[in-house]
Amino acid sequence: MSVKYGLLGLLAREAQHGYELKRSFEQFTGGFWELNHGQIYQSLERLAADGLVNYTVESAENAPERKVYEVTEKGRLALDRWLERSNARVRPLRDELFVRLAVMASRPPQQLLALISEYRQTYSEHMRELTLAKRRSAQAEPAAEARSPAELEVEHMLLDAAIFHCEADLRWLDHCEAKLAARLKREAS
Amino acid sequence: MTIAARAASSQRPVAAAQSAQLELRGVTKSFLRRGAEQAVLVGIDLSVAKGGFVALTGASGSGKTTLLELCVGLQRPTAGTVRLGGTLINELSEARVAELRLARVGLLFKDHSLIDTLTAADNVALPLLLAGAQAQPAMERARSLLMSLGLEHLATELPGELSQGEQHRLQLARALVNEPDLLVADEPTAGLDSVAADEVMRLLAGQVEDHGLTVLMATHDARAAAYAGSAHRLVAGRLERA
Repeated sequence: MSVKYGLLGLLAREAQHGYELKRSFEQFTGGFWELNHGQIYQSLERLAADGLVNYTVESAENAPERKVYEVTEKGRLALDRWLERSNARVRPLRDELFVRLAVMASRPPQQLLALISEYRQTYSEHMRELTLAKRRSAQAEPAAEARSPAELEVEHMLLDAAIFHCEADLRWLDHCEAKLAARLKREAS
Repeated sequence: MTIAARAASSQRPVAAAQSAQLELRGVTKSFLRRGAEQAVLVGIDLSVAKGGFVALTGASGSGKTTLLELCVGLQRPTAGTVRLGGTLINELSEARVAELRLARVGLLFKDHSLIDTLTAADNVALPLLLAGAQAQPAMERARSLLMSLGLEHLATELPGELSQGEQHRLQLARALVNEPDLLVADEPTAGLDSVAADEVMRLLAGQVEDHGLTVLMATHDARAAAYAGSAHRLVAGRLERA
């Protein structure tokens, strides 16, 4: 759903072909929502079938033909309706780690601690990558990036979302570790 | 500095141990508690290369602050060695260590607040004056540092007029005024909201990348720790790679 309207939103700014759209979508969602070509073309076909976008076939010498998509009037209306619709909801929290912990509940705490430590390293590394991405993005010149300061600011906000989620995960891992360590200490004494 | 140059400097490889700015080997610290010897830190090996930025994480009470104080000679290890810029500091007299600290170390500690009756620029110049510098060059250095940190607009303000975030950045300026080889920071983002915390961390990381500053920072803030090139965690008195 979000992909469909995201593409529509990008096309409302300017006509683009499929590959450009893939890149614009990824850039505009902070670089951590990757789409595969299948998803892009499937969504575009559906949008075209619903009359929300049109395309023209562009051909150039020595290059395959490509479809350049643009939004229709009906598409703009659908986009506005989607933006106006109230749709705040809590995202589901599902993680393989939760299931693993549940399955391991009655095993020795050392095993759970080892699992948590492994996850912590992965999340810490991810946190460093996100922080670096944010700093690169903060140093980017809006003019060179062909994006407005407002668009760059939203990109930073999306990167912050990833950083804050990662921080929450790390805090929770610390919390679990402290509880398990306390249990180990109790059992030892 | 161009973006490409910044990117290159942020990927500077960690230098070999011989150019370590700070090196701890087998450091143990015990305290007498209720008549019994209790080890807070056990067999700590830690090396911070020149131009490196290392974070130290761990739960409250895990010994982060004690470890920082050991690194700059504010405490002495029960066993092991501490080398600061190649000098073995655990065998130096208190006075020599204090001299070394004043000349080569920047301290950004929680309880080192700014002096309320001095302007921001005076606060920043103070470490130079205490080290015996002349007033005028000290003030010039303080002002040019504030300028390079983008804080020149605060120069004539009194600390009481500044926001928490501005005070933290000013404390950072004060810690940098003696052009230290090593900056030791204890919870530099404590008490700050996330926007102000990011500003302090960007400033600190910028000093590492653009000026080759070496930093050892204790923090329980995962977002702050992520600015460092590498992180270690204190768990039950021992150091783990985080």
